[in-house]
This record gives sequence, structure tokens and C-alpha cells, in this order.
Amino acid sequence: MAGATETFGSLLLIIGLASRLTAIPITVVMAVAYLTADLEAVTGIFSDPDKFVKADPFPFLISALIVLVFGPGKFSIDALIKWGLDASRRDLPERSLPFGAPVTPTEAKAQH
Amino acid sequence: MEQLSLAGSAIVNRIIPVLHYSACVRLLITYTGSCFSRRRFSSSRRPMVRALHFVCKDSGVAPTNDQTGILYQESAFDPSPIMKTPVDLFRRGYELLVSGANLLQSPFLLLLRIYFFWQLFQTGRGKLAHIEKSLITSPALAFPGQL
Repeated sequence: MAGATETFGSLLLIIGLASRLTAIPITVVMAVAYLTADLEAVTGIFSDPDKFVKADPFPFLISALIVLVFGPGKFSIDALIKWGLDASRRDLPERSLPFGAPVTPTEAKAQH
Repeated sequence: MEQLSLAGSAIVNRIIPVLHYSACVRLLITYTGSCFSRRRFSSSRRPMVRALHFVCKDSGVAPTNDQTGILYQESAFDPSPIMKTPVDLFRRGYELLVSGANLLQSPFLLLLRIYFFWQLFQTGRGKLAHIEKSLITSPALAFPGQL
């Protein structure tokens, strides 16, 4: 389960598809890895922070949290999808008009 | 030939003010969009300046200071008030730093994703490839007969 999550989740995060959604299970898996394999590092996070930072899951946990909070950035499929959705919304201004309202100037002239 | 030269001079006389005005408008828009615009033009005045730009671009007449509501000392055509004090210099430098860091945000996130999650992908693939080694090996947690 953890292996499948790590494999497919990291692939999705690399290409930037559903990044914030994928970062959640990765964060959970890394937290579980911390609690099972490095419980001493978690309990001694304030007394011995070096041990917590040097644990194996730390860079992956921090990376997943960064992606979860800040998003994948502009170089990702999520940004591409968002750009496409915004472009399609810009191309369809009549969606914001009430039903039956004139869309083109010729229609407006015809109604008047 | 004389008519041709007259026509040419008429065209030049027509074009030069337009070119001059377009350069002024470009300067105005540059300063409007610059980071100092918050001090030069208030947020409520900035759309008005942009609207004036379009109106005056069509009419070919540059806006007067009365039209823009800007005093000549604060005009965008007079760049002398920029960076007079060390505070302005610091502010300009800090805003350059912020804009540069904002530009670096997406490449940094891309590098972070590729570097760390590629390692995580290899770890996960190794777990899936050698799943028998990833199973529980502790006798206390194993099912009877598993070990």
C-alpha cells in the first residue's frame, strides 16, 4: 500500500497532476513512516531536532508539505489545465449574462 | 516631384507627433505599471489613467495634467523624484528582490518535485519490485506460520 502510494503519488507529483490532492496521501504515508520507523525522532523532536531532521522520511515529508501548501507552480499539468479553463471562460462571455440577454450587438439592436 | 516632397513632408509632420505621443504614452503606462505607481497614482486613479491612455490614443492628443489630476512635480513624465532618499532606494531594491524571488518560485517548485519525488518514486518502485522483503519480518507481528 505504502509502496504503491509512493510510486504512483510521486509520479503524479513529478508531472504536476492533481498535486495538492496527491500530496495528502504522501504526507500521511511519510507521517506513518515516521511514527513506525522513527518514533524516537518524533518524540525527541524538541530535545534532539537533529535526529528528527536526519530521519529518512524528512525530505519527502517536507517536499509533500511544500507542494500541499504552495501548489505545484506554473510548470505543471495543473497550471496547464487551469490556463485552459480560464481561456475557455474568457471565450464564453455569454455565460455570465442572464438568460435571454442579447449576446451580440446585432441581437441587441434587433431587440431594441 | 515637388508635390511628392510636399506629400512626404505632410506624412512626416503627421507621423512624428503620433510617434512622440506614443513614446510618452508608453512612458506613462510603464510608470503606471511600475512598483512606484502606488505612490505616484493612487489605486483609484490608476484605472482613470489607463482609460485616458485609450481615449487619448484614439484621439491622438496627450492628456494634460489637469485631465489626469496629477501635479507636474509628480508627473510620470518627470522621473526626477525617483529614488531620492535611501528609503526609496531600499524600497526599490526590496521590490526587485521580491519580484525576482516570485519569478524563481515555479522553477524552484519544479526542481523540488523532480529531485525529491524521483527519489521517492525509486523507493516505492523498489518496494513494489521486492515486496517480499517489505513484508512484516517481526515474529511478534507475523501471522502464525508466516515466518
